[in-house]
Amino acid sequence: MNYSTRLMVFLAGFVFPALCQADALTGEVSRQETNPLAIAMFLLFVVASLALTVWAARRGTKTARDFYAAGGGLGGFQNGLAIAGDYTSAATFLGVTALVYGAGYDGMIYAIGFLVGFPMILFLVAEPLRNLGRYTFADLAAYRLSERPIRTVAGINTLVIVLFYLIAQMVGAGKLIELLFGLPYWVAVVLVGILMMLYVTFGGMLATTWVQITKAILLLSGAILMSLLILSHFGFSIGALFSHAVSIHPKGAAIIGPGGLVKGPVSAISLGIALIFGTAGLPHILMRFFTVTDAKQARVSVLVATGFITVFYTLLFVLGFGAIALLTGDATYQDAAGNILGGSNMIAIHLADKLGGSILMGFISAVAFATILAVVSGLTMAGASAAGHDLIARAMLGGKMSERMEILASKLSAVAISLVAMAFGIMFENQNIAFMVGLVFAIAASANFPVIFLSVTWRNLTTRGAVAGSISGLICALAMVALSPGVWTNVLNLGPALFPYDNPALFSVPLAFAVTFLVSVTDHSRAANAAREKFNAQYVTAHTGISVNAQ
Amino acid sequence: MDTQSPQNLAAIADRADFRRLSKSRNRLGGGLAIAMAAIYFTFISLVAFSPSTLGKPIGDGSSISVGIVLGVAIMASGFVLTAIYVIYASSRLDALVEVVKRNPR
Repeated sequence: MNYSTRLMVFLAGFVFPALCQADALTGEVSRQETNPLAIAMFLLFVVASLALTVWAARRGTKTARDFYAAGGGLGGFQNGLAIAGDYTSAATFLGVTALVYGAGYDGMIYAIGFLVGFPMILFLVAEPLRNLGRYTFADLAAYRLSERPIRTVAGINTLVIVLFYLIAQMVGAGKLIELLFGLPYWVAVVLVGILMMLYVTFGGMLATTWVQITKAILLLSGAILMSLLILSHFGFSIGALFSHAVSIHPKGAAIIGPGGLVKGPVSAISLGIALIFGTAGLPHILMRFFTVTDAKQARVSVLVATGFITVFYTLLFVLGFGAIALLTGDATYQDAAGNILGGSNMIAIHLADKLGGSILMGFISAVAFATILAVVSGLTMAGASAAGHDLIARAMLGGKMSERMEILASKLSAVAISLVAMAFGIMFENQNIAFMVGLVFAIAASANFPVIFLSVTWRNLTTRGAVAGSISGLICALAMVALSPGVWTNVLNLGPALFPYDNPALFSVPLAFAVTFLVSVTDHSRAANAAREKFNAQYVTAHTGISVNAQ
Repeated sequence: MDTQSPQNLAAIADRADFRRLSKSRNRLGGGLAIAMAAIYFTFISLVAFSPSTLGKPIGDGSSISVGIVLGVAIMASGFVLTAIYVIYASSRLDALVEVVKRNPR
């Protein structure tokens, strides 16, 4: 088997099913020699983030507003950076670079999909969300619908999303730290779990926010620095970079066009629907909009986040092609069989080493680690608020809980979520978790987005309609993914899949809308009429920010 | 923070100044959302139905393809559409909100 055949085999195994999985950081992993500089920088980040947590804890997490929304006084620019830090995972950074290195253009298709959901948040939900909600997106739906059922459903959806997303991140984090720092897998998972638990329980949203902002700045600086170093090898000519990459890559000119990433129109469109509407249903992203002062700052947040992500993903493309041009054929980064040392996800790390030696490599490794922590702490924060605020304080106890007890309940939930995520992270070490991130977006698009969107735009929406629609979206998404090739065939080993597509959104999103519509229009209960009557007042608040005064 | 009783709040919904505001924002948000979705699904359809179009070099001897330029353009368009919303909302919508808030009734 020559080098290019081997590469093709490797690509078939890793890159092609990767459109949904690059975010889950999969692929083979082998432990690396410890890099003392990387460990020093990683420790520096941990100490700095803990100092930040102590500072945030001193500022106080006593009121619900402080704990859930960092006091609600953040500016749009800060929040935009934090949103970007919340959204761009280490798996995107390392995964997309690896994807471009292996398959070229296909990496860009992936990056575009993850960007387009952002403007949609602003166009469809951001301002009403900020004007109507306080701590969680369920606040918005509960504004005129019956609180208990709607918060129960929204809280459960959030926990399902947070848990799947956390498992994907924990497994990726464990493998990444294992290979970057030479720690055993389970130690790495426990370490990440404990750090996110500390950030959230002691520092609340304020600490989480600053961890995310720090990470966003580090990540973008790292990507810019590496891109400049790459371009300096090619006289700062993008054309020269691509020409060199094409001339040296085993697939030649095929890398500048779409490869086998997208399997047929149905899969492509289904994934597109999940990404474009799913982002507007992700609880940890939506929650960030409550940290800003008003709708105006919410707009600025999205602008900053979209700009950041656009630049970052474009740079990833430079990194990927830079890796092709500079690493292909370099024996330093390959084992005897011609495979990438440490697995394909190490491409960005090897590239840093090639460009700037062990100093840059240590820095980029620490950045990758910071990236993981920022994402998992944001997810834990969203899970804690759904459990403490929506499920325990509101749905179960009907708001009869003191603010102090509610925050305590949320903090204990954060501890519980962290422990569960650690346990699942260790259990799933050798499972194929590629389906999880795609599933998360499908659930967000099917179970959350229709309720959020219709509750602010459609007068006739009733509690029964919202609950029925949300539950059918959730169940449909879960069932179709369970029966899909990604789970039925690859995880459960049950043979050919009963449902042929990996992403269910093309079916589950319309189903959720249809059920919500039908149940709502046929609902003539007294509660339904009351909800319709409250629409005008809600609509005015959504558009103007004028709120109901305390009576 | 401006507050109103629920009855007054609901009454604002029927006022002409509020209708102007809600209509402008819905049009702006809806229009841009449709534009973004159209751009994205056109791109995805090209990937699905005509990948060779995207793989063509932009010029003779160039190793930059149509798809690469288009890809960067689509990402930039997301940012541009967002900027359009922000600029329009900050100049026009915020002024309309102020009118609604200042209006005594």
